Amino acid sequence: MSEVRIFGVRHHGPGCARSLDDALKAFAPDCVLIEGPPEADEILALAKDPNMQPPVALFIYETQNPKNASFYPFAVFSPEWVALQYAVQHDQHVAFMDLPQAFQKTWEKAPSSPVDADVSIELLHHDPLGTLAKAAGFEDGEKWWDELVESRATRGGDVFEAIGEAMAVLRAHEPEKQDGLEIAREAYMRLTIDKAQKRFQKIAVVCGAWHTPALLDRSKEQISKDTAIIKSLNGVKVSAAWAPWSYPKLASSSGYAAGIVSPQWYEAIWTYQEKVAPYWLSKAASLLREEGLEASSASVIEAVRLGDMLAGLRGRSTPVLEELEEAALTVLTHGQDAPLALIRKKLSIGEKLGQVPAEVPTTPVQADFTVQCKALKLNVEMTSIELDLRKDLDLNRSHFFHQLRLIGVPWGVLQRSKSKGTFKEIWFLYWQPEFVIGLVQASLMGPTIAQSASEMVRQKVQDAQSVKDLTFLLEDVLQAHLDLGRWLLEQIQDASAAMHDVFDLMQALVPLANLARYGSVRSRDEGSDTFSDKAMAQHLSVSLAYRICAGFRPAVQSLDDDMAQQVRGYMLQTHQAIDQLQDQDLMETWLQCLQHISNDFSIHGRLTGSATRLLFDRGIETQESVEQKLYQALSQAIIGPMSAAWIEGFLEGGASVFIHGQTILPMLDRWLTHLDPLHFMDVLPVLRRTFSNFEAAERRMIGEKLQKGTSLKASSLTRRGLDEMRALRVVPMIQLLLGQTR
Amino acid sequence: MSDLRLAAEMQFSEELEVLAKLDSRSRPFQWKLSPWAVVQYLMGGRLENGFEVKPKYIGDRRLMEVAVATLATDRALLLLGVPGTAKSWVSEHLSAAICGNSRQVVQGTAGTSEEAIRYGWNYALLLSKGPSFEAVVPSPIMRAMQTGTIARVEELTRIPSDTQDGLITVLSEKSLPIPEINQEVPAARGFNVIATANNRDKGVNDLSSALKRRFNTVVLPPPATIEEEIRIVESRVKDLRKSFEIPSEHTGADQIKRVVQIFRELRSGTTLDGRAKIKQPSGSMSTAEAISVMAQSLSLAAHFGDGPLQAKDIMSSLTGAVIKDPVQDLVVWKEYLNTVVKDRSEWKDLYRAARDVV
Repeated sequence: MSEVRIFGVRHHGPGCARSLDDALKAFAPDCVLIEGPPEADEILALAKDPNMQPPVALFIYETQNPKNASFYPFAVFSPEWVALQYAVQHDQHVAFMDLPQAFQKTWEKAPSSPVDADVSIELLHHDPLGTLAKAAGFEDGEKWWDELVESRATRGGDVFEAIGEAMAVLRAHEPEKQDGLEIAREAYMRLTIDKAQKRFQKIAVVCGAWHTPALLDRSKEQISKDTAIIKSLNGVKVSAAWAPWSYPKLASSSGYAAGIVSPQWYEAIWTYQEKVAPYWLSKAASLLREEGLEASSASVIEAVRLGDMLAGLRGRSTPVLEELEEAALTVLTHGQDAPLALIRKKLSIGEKLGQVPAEVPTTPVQADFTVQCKALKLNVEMTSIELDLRKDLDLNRSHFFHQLRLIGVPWGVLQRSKSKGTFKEIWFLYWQPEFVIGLVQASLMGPTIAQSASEMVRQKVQDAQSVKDLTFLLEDVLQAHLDLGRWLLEQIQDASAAMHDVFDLMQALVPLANLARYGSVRSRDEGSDTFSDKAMAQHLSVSLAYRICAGFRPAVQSLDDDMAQQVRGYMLQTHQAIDQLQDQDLMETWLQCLQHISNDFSIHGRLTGSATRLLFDRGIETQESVEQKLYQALSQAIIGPMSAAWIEGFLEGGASVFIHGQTILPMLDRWLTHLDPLHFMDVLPVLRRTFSNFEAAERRMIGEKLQKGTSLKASSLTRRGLDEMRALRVVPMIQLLLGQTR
Repeated sequence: MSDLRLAAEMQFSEELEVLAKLDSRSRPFQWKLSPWAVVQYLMGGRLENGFEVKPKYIGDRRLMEVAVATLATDRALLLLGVPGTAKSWVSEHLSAAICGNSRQVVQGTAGTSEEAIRYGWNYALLLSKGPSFEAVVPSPIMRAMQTGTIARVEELTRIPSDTQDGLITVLSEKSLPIPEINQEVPAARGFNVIATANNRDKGVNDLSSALKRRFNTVVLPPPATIEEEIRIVESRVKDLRKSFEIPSEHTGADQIKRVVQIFRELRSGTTLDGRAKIKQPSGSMSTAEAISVMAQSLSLAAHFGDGPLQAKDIMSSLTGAVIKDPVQDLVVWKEYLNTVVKDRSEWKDLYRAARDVV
C-alpha cells in the first residue's frame, strides 16, 4: 500500500513554504498532488523553464467566453509553488487535484445563493490558520507561524500533523453548512488521491489547511459516493494558460480575495530568513535616498539594533515587518510618517512583475501581441516612450498602442502634447497583469489585435448615439490606423443629415476639421487613400459647419450659467475649426452668425462677450463699436450677473490683447475710472476674478503698461512745477548724446 | 511630606520595588529594571502576584516599547508631540524606572546657556586656585555622565541652536571635554539622554540635522479615541483631587465626557459624529488643558459652589481655556455654542451657563 501524506498549508505563507520544502525533502515523494485546476496539468512542466519567474498565475478560462476566467497566482514563497518546483526539479510526477474548473465555471453561472451572510465562516474556510492566528491575538498569520513554528528551534514534531489535528477540531465544531461546490471539490480531491495510490508509492498532497481532515477518509463507500457526485456534474470547455502576475495584484489591497498584505515583505522573509532585518532596512534607506531624503548607513545600523531590541522586548526571535517599520520610523525618518508613506508601497507591496517563457500556450491575439512587441521592440517593463511619428517604427508603435487601447488594454497612456500637428508623442506605459484578460477576450473578436480592434469599432458605431460619438471614433480609427476611415465617414454623413442637435454637431466638427487639415501627419502613404479621405473630411466638415451656422443662434437662447460656459467652449472650438477649414464663404457666414450673437443682449452675457471678442480679434468690430458694447453691457441698467458674464466672456480670451493691443486696455481703464463709486464696488469682484485667471507675468505687464501710460501724461509733469530754465540746461547734453549736435 | 509634587521615583517607589523584585529578565548595564518591566511600569496592569501597577501612559503600548528599546540600545531618545501629549510625563517616568533618578533635568528656554548643558565654573575657586577640576561646576548632563544615569532635556527646541549643538559631542563621543584643564569626563555606561520637544511650534529653533541624527524620535500622538482621552482625564483628575484635597464627593465623571468631547471637537474642527465643520480656536486644546479645566471647575464647585459639579462651574473655566485670543477665539467659541451646543438637547444646562459667562 502506498503512503499518503497530507500537507495543509497557508496560501502564500513563506514560513509555511519553508516548512513544506523541508518536509518534502525529508519525505521524498514520487508523486505530488496540489490543490489546483487539473486542466493545467499539461502546462505544469513549464514551471521548470528558467524563464518562468514568479509571480505568475495560472489562468483558466471558458474557451467560448474568456471573460469567465479564474486566476491561480503563485509567488516564489507560495507553498504550492514550492511543491511544484520540488516535483519538476526532481522529475517526479506532479498533478493538480482540485475540482476541474470546467465544473466550477458552471457553478459560478448558476444563480448563487443569496450572499453568504457569515463572512467569518468564509474567511475561516479560506485562511483557517490566519483565523486561528487572529483568535490567538496575532494581526498577521505569518507572525503566528513564526511564533509557533519557526521560533521554536525544536525541529522535531510534525508541524503538518499538528495542523491536520487543529483543522479536524475546527471542522468538527462547524455546523453542517458546506455548500455543494465545496463537497464536490473535496470529492474530486479524494478521487484523485485514490487514483494516484494505484500508481505511486509515496504521495505528497498539498492543499489548503481547511481541506486536510476531509481528505483522510478514502474508504470504498466514500469513493463510490464521490464518484457519483462527480458523474452528476456538467462542465464547459475551458483552456489553461500561464500569465505573468505582479505583486501589486497579489496584494490584498488589489481586491484579490486570498491576497496578502505585503508580498515584497514575504519575499524578503523567504529569501533572507533570519537576516531579513538588515536587508529590509537598507532597502528602506536606499528608497528614502532615491526620494532625496537623508538616510545614512550609520542610521541603518541603529535601526537594525532597535528592531532586534524591540523583537526581543516582545519575545520574538526576529523582528517582523511592524518592528522594522517602527525602527525605520523612529531612526530613519525621525518620527515623521510622511516620508515612510512615500516608500511603503514599494517597500512592502513591491512592484515585481513575473515572467513566463515565450512558448507557453496562448490565444491568437496573445500570440499576435508577443510578435508585435518583438517587431516593435517593446517590452512590458518599459515605463515611458517618446515617439517621432515621422519614423516608420515609431508610427507603427503609436498605431499599436491605439489599437490596444481600443480592445480594452490601456497599456500606453498618451500624454497630451501641447501643440497640434506635432510629430512627437510621449506615451506612459504601465503593464498590468490583468491586461492578459483583455487580450484573451479580444480573441473572440478577431485573430489579430488590428482585426479585433476594427470589430470593436464596428460595434461601437452601431451603439453610437450621436454624430459627436462617431467623429470621436473616427479619430480612434485614424490613430489606430484601422482600415475603416471611408466607411466611417459615410456613416457620419448619414447620421449628420438626420441630426438636429447643434451642440452635438459642433463637437463633431472639431475632430473632422482636424482630419481635414492634419490627416496626413499620421499616415504613411500620402497621395493614395488618405488623400481622398482628407477631401471627403473637408467636404463633410464644411457641410456640418453650414448647418451649425444656421442653427446656432436659435440654440443659444435662454441658457443657464453652466450651459453657457459649455457652449462658449464649443463656440471657440468651432471658430478654430472653421478657421482651419480655410473656406472664405463659410468663414463669412460664421462671422455673420457671431455678429448676430454679439448684438443680441437677450443671449447669455458669456456668449455675447465672447463673440464680441472673437469679432474684435478678427478686426470686424472696431474699437468704437466694442467700446459702445462694453458700456452697454456694463451699464447700470443691467449691472449684475449678466454684465459680469459679459466681461468675463470678453476677457477670457486672454491677456494678450491688453499687452500687445493698444486699444482695449485704455478703453477698459477709461470705463473703470468713470464709474461712480457704488457701481465700482459692484464690478470689482468680477474684474478681480477675471484678472486672476491671467498669468502672474501677464498681470505684471498689464500693471507696468498702466503705470507707464499715466506717468507720461504731460499734465502730470506740469503740475509738479517744472523749472523750464533748469531743464533747458540739460538739453544740449541730450542732443550731444543723441548725435544731434549742430 | 509637604512638597507640592514628589518626583516620580518617590511617588511610585512601591511599584518600582515590587517590579524590581519580580523582574527576572536580563537588564541592560546599570538599569534598575529590565526593558520589559519598564514598559510594564509605564503601561500599568496587574502583575503575577496580584499587585496592581497604575498606568502612567494611556495609549499605544507599541510606542512605549519603541521608546524603551531605543534607550536599551544606547541611543538618545527624542519625544516629539503637540502640547499636552504627556511627553515630559513619559520622560520623567522613563528615567525614574530605568535609573531611579528623574531629577537630572535641563529645562530648555530661550535663555538656556552652554553651562546648563556642559559645565560652569566656580569663579571664586577659579580665581584663587586657577583652572582645576574642583572649580568645575557640572551640569545635570555631566552629572548623569559621571554616574551612568539618564539626563533629561525638556523643550529642546526652545534652546538656542548653538547651545543645542553642545549635545552633539556628548551624544556622539560619549565624553565631555574640558579643554581649559585639558581633561575630559567620559560617560559611564548607562548614561543616556531623553529630550522632549514640541512639534507644533517647531519653528522656534529647529534641530540641526547633525543633532537629529543622534536621536531616535518617537512621536506621541494626541489620544486616538474619545474613550482613551476620557480615561486619561479621569485618572489625572482623580490624582489632582487628592493632592489639592478637594473635598467634594462628586467626581464629575459624567461631566468629564462632555468636556473632553468639547476639547476634541474644537481641536479637530469637526463634531464627533463628523457631520458639521467647526472653526478651530488658536489654542492647542490639549488634553492637559482639559485636565486643568476639570480640576479648576471641581475646585470651584467645592469651594464656591453647591458641592456637586455643575454646568456653570465648568463653563467659567472652559471659557478661559478656549479663548486665548480675545477677538478671534471669542467668535469661534460663540459660533460653537450657538451651532453645536445649543442643538444638543441634553446640553441645555451648559448652553444656559455659557450665556451667562460669554
